[in-house]
Amino acid sequence: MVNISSDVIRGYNDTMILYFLIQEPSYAYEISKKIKQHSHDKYVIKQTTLYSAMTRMEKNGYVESYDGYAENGKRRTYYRVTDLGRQYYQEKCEEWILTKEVVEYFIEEESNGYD
Amino acid sequence: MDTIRNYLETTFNSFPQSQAVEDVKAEMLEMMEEKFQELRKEGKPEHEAIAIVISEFGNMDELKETLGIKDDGQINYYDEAEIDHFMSASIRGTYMIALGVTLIIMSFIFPILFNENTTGPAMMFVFWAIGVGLFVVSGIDKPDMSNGAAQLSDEVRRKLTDERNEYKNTEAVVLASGIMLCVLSFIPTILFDTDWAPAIFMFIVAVGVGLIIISGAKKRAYDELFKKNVKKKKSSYKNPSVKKIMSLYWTTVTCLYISYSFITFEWHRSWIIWPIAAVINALIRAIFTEGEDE
Repeated sequence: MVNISSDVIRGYNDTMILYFLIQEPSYAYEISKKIKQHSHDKYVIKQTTLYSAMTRMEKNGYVESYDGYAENGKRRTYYRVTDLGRQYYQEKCEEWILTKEVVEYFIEEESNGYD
Repeated sequence: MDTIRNYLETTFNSFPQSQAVEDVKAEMLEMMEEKFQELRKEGKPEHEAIAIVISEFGNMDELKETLGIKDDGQINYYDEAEIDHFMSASIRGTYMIALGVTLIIMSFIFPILFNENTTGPAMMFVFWAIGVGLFVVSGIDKPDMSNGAAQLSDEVRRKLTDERNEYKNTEAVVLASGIMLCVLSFIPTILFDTDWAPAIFMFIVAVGVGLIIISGAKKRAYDELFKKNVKKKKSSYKNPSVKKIMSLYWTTVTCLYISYSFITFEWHRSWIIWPIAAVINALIRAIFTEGEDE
């Protein structure tokens, strides 16, 4: 089984996180769970990756953190997307479409093993 | 769970001791605990759950960048110029806020003095505009020191603490004068039974409040410096409906004030809504907020 190279996916962690934050505010663990589910268990974001992505995006003004409470009353840091974050997400989406198109030109799948 | 805790302790061992590092560690632990509990609930045996949690932890190098730690494990320190710049910008910002608040409180003098015509309200709005303008620009050139890109060295920390202690007396005097002015502000209203007595009251309160805010200028700057990297925890309303209602509180009060004043043209009296609104706000806050983090 092939693994995703972390170099390639690094540029798109933000996109994945924002994808969920645009739907609703969330907290770190929930985001990591959703990423796993949504990618059909093919990508598991590392905790440190997620944390540094969140810190960076907060610094850049793409997300805002605020205190919320878990069901059991424990304090938890929640994140919500800002307008700047939405705009950034759109840009990343367009960038990906172009990237995908370009890389596609150079990809040749072996015909056996598929279908 | 102990295994996970020990794992974190060991991984963070090579990191310098600081508040920022502690914060990250706490955050990491929280996430790991949650993941662990959920895996257990799904029926995974303990050792397997621990293995999964640890395997999904990641790479410490990624945290180094976030914490401002260089590759060789050394910490990035702010230099003195950066700190000076921050301090002066922060203090200047507080002065602007103090001036803004003072001007806004003083603005109510005009409707009291020019009771009969529109000059009063007009002047009041001009002062509001200047005050709000000051609020807006107050934070403009203050550098962001809370992103954790660098830290304070122990030496700088000591120096700043000394400076801070030296300033404490001055601060107390300014604060006390401010409070005294506010407490004594009603005296003219009692002594002179005239229409403009409330104007003197406003003036004294405005100066008093200005002094109170100014007295905290240095403290605010220092606190922000020292507590950098610590997440700002604002006390917030726990109850979502209270939170929604309160987010509109001051807007509503302003609307009430303006509409009432324009309809009745009782500008010299309607300002009383502000102190009342402030008291009500304080009450609601006291009842509905959770304890604040220091």
